[in-house]
Amino acid sequence: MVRKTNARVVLNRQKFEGVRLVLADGLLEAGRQMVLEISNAAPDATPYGVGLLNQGAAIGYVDGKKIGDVSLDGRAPRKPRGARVKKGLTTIVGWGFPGRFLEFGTSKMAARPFFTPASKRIDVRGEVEDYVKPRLRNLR
Amino acid sequence: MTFYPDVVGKLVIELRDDPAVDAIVAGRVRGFEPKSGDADGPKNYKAHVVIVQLASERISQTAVQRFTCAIRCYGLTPPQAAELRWACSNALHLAGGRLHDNGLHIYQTVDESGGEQLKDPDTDQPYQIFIVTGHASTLEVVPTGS
Repeated sequence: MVRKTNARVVLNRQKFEGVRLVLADGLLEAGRQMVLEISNAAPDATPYGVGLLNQGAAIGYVDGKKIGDVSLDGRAPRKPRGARVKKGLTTIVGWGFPGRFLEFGTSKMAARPFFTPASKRIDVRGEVEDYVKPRLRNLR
Repeated sequence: MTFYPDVVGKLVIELRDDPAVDAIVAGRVRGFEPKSGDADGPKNYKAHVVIVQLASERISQTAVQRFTCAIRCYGLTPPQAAELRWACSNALHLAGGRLHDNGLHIYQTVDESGGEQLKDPDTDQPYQIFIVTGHASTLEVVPTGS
């Protein structure tokens, strides 16, 4: 007797939101790694660099709602004034004053870029994958 | 002559050669930091541009680099800083491939972000920053037929 094959796939839509949250956590984890990597490169010098080592922070959002944050000084970071968080998954990584002036320089001080070069050393996709893969296996 | 694939020097030349930028800054486009006399404080503001390279990484297994530069556009007033920012942006954004005399080929430059109205913390001069990314050769490019 020939059995009829059944290739029907049942899509468990209830788990979709769980998958999104795991991805958002993965993105925040990548942000955390970025903060740690950049903090190693942050200049700690007068007149503008003192304290920069402890300033880095990352904030994660899902559809505009904050889901978590990471900061080197332990305080809850504030969303940058100019940042517009849209729908979807977002992670913002940044440094407070006077990070901008060190990164880009001023009239009287040459730039000492620390953020851009260090952030490019982080493989964001790889960090997210490392975080997400084991958790997705458990999401059944 | 040894070939150095330095992008900043060529961007300085490109902005200096742009008529809209030059009409505002009169040749004061600098790489790395302002020249002495460019940023002398409130009574002696001069419009000028400073290009700072933030990163330049080699794209593995190719003779291509991806560079990121910050361009600080100082004006006498906030509106002039905005005018200068857009003049610089128009000169570089999607400018396409261009081959410089030394063999450096810039494939493309893109205005990625920026445009905040800022005040310099040292001189209070109004300025705007924008970020330019692009790709350029790491080896000397020789046009065919030459």
